[in-house]
Amino acid sequence: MTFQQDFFGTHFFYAIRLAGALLIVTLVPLLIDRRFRR
Amino acid sequence: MYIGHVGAALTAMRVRRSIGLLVLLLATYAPDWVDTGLCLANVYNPQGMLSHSIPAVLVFMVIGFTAYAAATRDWTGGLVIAALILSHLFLDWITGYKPTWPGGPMIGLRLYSHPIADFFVEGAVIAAGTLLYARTLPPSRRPWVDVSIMLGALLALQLTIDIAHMVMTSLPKC
Repeated sequence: MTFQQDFFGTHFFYAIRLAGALLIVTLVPLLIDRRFRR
Repeated sequence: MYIGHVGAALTAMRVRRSIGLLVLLLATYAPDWVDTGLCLANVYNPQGMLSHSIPAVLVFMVIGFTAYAAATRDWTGGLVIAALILSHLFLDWITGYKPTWPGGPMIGLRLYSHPIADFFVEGAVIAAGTLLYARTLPPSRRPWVDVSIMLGALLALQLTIDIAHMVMTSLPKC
């Protein structure tokens, strides 16, 4: 088992990936809205 | 539903302008944030019983309403937050396949299996939300540019996800 194989199958990896996706879908509209209201 | 939930948050902003967009975005994705925590804690349930079932969402609605109303004394705003959390359930029934209650049936149209149809349905929700949101913006000389930027960015995100679904045979959440 390499480090990659160990890491990419872990719950930690999936949780980080899901959190990252949620952060992106939160930040994109938020930053655009901030720009509109400046 | 993926980016369609942002459409719901933008619609809620039109309904109650005093609520910040960050709060609305956190509320609209509340069940998915719970899934993130469950995944991290290694107690994730693939069916979403603890995050996307009717009793779970009812609990999140009560928490969301209470937290927002207690923090702001805006009870109507709290109701909007609760309704937005509830919208997650209804929107996911269109695109996904979610549990109702423990021992109950799974329901949903499973549009995720049809990425092109999913894109058009979510796109419609995104477009409707963006148009309603545009009315909350300060006067602009070119309001259509603002609408196009928001709409384009959200549709691009949705398209990316749907293409990923088409390319990858399996895209597990956790």
